[in-house]
Amino acid sequence: MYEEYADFAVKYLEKRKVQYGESRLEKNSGSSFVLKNGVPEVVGFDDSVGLGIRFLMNNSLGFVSINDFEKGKIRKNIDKALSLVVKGNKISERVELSEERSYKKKYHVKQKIKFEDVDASEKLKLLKDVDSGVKSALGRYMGLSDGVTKKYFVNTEGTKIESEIPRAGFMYFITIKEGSKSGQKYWQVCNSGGFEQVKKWNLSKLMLDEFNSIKENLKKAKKPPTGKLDLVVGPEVTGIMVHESVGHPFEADRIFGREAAQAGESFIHPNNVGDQIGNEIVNVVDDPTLENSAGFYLYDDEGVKARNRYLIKNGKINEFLHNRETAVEMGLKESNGAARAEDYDKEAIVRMANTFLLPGDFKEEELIEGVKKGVYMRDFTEWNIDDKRFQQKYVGNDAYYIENGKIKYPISKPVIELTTPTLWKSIDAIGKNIEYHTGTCGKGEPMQGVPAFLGGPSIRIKNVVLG
Amino acid sequence: MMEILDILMRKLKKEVDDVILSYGVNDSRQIKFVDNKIVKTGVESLSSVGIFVAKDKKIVTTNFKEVSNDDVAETTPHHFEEKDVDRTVKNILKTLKSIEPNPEYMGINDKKFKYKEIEDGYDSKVKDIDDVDFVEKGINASIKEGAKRTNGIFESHVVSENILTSKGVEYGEKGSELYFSIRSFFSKDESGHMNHVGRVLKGFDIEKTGGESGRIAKDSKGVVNGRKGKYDILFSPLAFAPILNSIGDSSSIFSVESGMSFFVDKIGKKVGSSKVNIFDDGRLKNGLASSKADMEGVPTQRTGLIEKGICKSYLHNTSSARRHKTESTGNAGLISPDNWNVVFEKGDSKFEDMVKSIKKGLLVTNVWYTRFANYHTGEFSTIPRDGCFLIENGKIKKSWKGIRISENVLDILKNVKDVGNKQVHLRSWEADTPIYSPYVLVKNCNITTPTK
Repeated sequence: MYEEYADFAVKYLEKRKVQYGESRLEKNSGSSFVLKNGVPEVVGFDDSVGLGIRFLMNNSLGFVSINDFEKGKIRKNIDKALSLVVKGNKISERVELSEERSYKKKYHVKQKIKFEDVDASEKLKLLKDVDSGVKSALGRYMGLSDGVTKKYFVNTEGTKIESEIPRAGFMYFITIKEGSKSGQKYWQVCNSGGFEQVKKWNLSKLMLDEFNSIKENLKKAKKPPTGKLDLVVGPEVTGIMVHESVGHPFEADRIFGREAAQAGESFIHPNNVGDQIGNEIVNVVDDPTLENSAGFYLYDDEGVKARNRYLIKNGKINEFLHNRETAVEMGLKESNGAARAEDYDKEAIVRMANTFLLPGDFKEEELIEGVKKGVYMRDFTEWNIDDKRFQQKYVGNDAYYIENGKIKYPISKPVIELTTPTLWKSIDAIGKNIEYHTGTCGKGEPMQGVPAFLGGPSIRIKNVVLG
Repeated sequence: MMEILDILMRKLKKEVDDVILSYGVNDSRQIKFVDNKIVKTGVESLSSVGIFVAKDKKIVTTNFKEVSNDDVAETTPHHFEEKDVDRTVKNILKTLKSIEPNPEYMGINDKKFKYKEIEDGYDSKVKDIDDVDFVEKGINASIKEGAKRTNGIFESHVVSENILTSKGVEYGEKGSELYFSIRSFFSKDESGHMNHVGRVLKGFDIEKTGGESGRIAKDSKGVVNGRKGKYDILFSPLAFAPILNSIGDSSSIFSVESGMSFFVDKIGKKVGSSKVNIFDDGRLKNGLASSKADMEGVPTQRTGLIEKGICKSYLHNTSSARRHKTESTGNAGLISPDNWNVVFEKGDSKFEDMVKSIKKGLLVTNVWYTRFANYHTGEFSTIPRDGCFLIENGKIKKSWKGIRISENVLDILKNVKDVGNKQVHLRSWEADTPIYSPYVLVKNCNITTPTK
């Protein structure tokens, strides 16, 4: 019902003779259920709708966000933004946007079981069932959410895209105490699609498995080995490694320093395409078109058609993630459709969608069998990486000592700190057990969080030093 | 809009036990700059209505979107249709029927108070400032100090908030906000970052902020990889902000009850050195998050979280306070108690004297990617970035990169050796709660480095 306001904004921008104008109407509606220590803390349902309007005037970018649907107010705020752009023009960057095909498309992700057809009591019961299996944990905090994002994108170049993407999500944070020790785990699950996705998750088993592995580790874990050894990590760890040390440094806006103030830059330079960054068995992609993924879309928030991006091919840097601005800056003909915005009130910036390491041929057991002395890290707790995405740390959660190809005993919090090239060059075998995990990726100022898949199979990393 | 809220309140009150309605408006401007040039200007005009409802201990939160009929709205700005209110009420009641009670819920504030305005909370001149001129001054000040390029953001906001509750609370508040963040580079690896927040133009010195950022960048010249080991660390206010943010979060009773706090069972116990005095201050003069009352109309206050190293209080709303047989601290959000401004009380040491007192240590001016291995125990690590300087025998020797602080918040608090005599008010990417902190000297911190 608000599409006419998006059209109005674009028409008004044309009237004001901008070089380029676009309007993104975004409507989010959904519900969320929170359980704290088994008690239903709160149930929320939300509806939000607003317009994000962007334009290029005198080669300077301006942005307006508004959720008051009155044409007079839209006009007034566009005028305000235009005069701010004109005022700032003396010290503005000359921005150009790549030439792109225009599309008129509608697409949606089907909900086989519609969120609205599932009663609130059923959603709460599901959470309570999950909680009942881990009641002896010291702290349990979990949430189930579902929502539908409807977008209507229109620009001065004739593109008009309508989309409807439903997403369901589950998050948990548990604290487990064993004697004087405690362990924690925070994680989330998300898929695009309807409530049928939630039914596939088997959350009770997921929580119970996590609970048992932490409990077991707290009870039995020994000190981790240190020094040079081989490391096998599970898909959850591979996922975070791929996201942090490949996805982020391959964002072209970082490479050009556009996010330097907060999210940081990249250790990679524009002319590094073709450079060997990992073993030749390493192939990493970012694919927004992956069905039922957390980061799913077919057209990005600049109206560019999405496609699979091959970031690392046979260990070599192959391409970066682009929006229309960075594509021009890098001398490319077109963007590869990586522009995403958290909501209508944020500008679309270069983002990952679903980033994962392509699988190899090995079973996870075979990766472990090939280790004389080493560590298996199924998942992780703490992690971080510097703002150029070069030096990173992962702390194992459910982790084990490996000797002569066999898992021997659990170990407590093994720590690996290494650089990105060391990590990807030290991989000598890749499993075929690919899994897709979910993260809310943060970037930009103001900060924007977007859902993304972080995935891959188990991998073996040879000869790394455990701290 | 207030007319709609009155109708909404009237209709909800008939059906439920407790209602809180909040109506917020934010008009803001934003300028983002990269490599000394503006890359984007932004204008925001946003409003929101938050609704909290409780009936028979069942709690629902939602929002309300006024649907304007544009033809009428052009001439009658606050036009609305009552059917939208009815639809919202109907949805709330339907949800209430299907959910279970929260036995821990003990109601909202039922007292009426007189509220004192926040000192320096609103400056009418903020809406008319020349944003471009501000940004230019900040950039130039940094370059004058020696930076080659600068990146950052400047935001100015005029905000208002109105709260209505079913217990008769009704108040409104207007505020202005300013935020300037600038990261300066001498080279790719040699940088400095500084930011500053405030509510009024008086004392909001963008040139000082820009200049400091540029000076740190220039001082970082000649940066080399650091070495692992134990070091005394002099944290700048910006570098200490994420630690204070985590202390604020850990103080909320909500975090304590859900196992996400390192202050569980710590009330009355020693958690820091006697130099540690940390408060949550909802009334901080010119404080970015200061407000005269919380979401249920309890006046805000200054609450001691840690005083002389002793853990003093958790942050409560009315419901949690009743449950724990204490008083609300005036920190109610719509769902759980939240921080206002986290304040580390200043000490009496001069910056130069603290540097002189360090035998083997580091001056850390900013950190990045603070992550916890365990919120319950306080184990975390964070990465120094921008100016990080090795101090030997009381003198700053060289600039370092490539190191990580791997520590525990409770150990850091116990090892606070000295506290600076000047505070800075800021909010950062790593700390979304505004903080007001001096330089803090912590002895014996663990520094790690990558193995390859």
